[in-house]
Amino acid sequence: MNPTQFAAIAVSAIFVQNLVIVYMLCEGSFFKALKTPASMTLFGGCITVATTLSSVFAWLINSFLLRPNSLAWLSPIVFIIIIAALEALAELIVSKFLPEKSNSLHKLFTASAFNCAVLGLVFLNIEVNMRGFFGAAFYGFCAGLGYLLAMFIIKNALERISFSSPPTVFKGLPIALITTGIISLGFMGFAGISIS
Amino acid sequence: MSKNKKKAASNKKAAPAARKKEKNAKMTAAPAMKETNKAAAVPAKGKAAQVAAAPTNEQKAAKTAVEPAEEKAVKAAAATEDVKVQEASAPANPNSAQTEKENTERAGFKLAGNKFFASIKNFNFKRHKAPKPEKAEKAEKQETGAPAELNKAKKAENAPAEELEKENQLLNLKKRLLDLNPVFIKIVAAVPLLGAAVSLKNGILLSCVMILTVVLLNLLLIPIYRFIPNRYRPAVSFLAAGVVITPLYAIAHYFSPSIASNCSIYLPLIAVSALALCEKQHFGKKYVVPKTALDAFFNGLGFAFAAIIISVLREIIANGTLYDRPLPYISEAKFKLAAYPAGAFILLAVFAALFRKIFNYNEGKGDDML
Repeated sequence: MNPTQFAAIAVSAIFVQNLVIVYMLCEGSFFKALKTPASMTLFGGCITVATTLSSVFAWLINSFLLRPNSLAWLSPIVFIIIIAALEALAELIVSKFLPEKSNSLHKLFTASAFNCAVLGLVFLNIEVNMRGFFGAAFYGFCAGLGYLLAMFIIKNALERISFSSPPTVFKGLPIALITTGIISLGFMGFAGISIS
Repeated sequence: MSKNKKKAASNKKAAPAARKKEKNAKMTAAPAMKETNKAAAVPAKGKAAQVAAAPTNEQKAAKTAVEPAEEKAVKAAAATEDVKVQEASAPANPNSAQTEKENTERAGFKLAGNKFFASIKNFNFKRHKAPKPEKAEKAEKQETGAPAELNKAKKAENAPAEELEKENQLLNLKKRLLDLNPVFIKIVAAVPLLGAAVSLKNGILLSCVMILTVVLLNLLLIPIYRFIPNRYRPAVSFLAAGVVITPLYAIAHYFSPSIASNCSIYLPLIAVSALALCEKQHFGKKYVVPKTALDAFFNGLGFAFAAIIISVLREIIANGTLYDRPLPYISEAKFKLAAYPAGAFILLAVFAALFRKIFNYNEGKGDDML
């Protein structure tokens, strides 16, 4: 793969195929994580690690086990096992090297690993099987960065909205959803861009 | 007149003598008082002491007047000692019972006062927080001396009523469909609905898969959930969701491959959404299998209700069709934005606001984290 292809993957993963704004993979944990910049960065970093590692292992298993044996129907359970195993591994490492922080990081790991964004990204990565191993890994990494970017954009927009006074019925999640919808309108503009 | 003058003169002469007598009487009384009350003791000195050493008749009379006071004081002291002894030795005595009562009342007042002052001391005027349950128990033990088991027993008396209320809340189809709709009110499990509910066919498939997933997940998890440590519960439930969704995913691809491929990545993501729905149920704590499964079924119906409304509206607005059949008049006026993510977000937000307004959902109950 040449650098232009990597750039195209980066642009498409961060902007054109943004997990939150375009693919709408934002569960309750996404809005719960919108607190402080530090916590958002930590959560986004965990998501990035999870997406990168899970896309690497998913690509390997899909390419060498599922697709050759026409076991694609088993993909949900296989990918779920991969994600659960990665989460368990991360907890094991933390409990061994940082035992005092294992309890506080446990919730963060579970929220970031058992997230629809991670599972959805793995399926997205497998659907477009043209990228190769490094392409899949880089796509996973950039998709995590796109998730982090979406978090910061939506948080900033919601902070600005908090200064205004929306109708009482729309206060809370409805106004957050409308804000996300308006932001996704802006991101639709990236769909026309093609690099390569 | 002369007689009167003489009388006055004799009175003047007699007055100092009477005063002297009174003084002497007082001086003789002083040592006796010294024994009973040291503060009132007056030392006898000089001439008065000498006079006291040789008492006259008048002094004797004064002595006899003072002696009863001494005796009274001594008797009173003895009486108080006797009462104390009686209290210690014979509590069954009615007089001692009264004193006991008085003492307990005093102790009670003291305790109440101490509690009151302690609460004032410990009160945080900035932000009053209720103590944690363990701390509260300890505090109760320290303050009252009574075990916290009594309070637990009182709570246990009220518990059945609360459980009944919860069960009634659980097994209520109307609440799951409208009042507490998981998608429109709680905004849970909205991902597949936002992504794939573009047509009625997709909506029906999504709702069928969701209902089956939620019910099967409940049936699978409830019997084992209480035996799993808290730390491993998310991982185990995630794996269970995977186990449930895999055959459903295969069946959907086998019987309706076109609709399943239209749903693309959102069909397996129902596993995560179903898990979110189940978490809202708090399964595996107090409830038995059939009840929670029925409640899960109602929850799934709530999701299906929302999915069908959203998918029908999006199909009509975006394509002007219903179940792939063109509608008259409407098919000419298409608004493609409804099929895009922006349209999905805005439509869901409008429905959420509408349902919250109609069913008076109180904001800030936990899911409103903004």
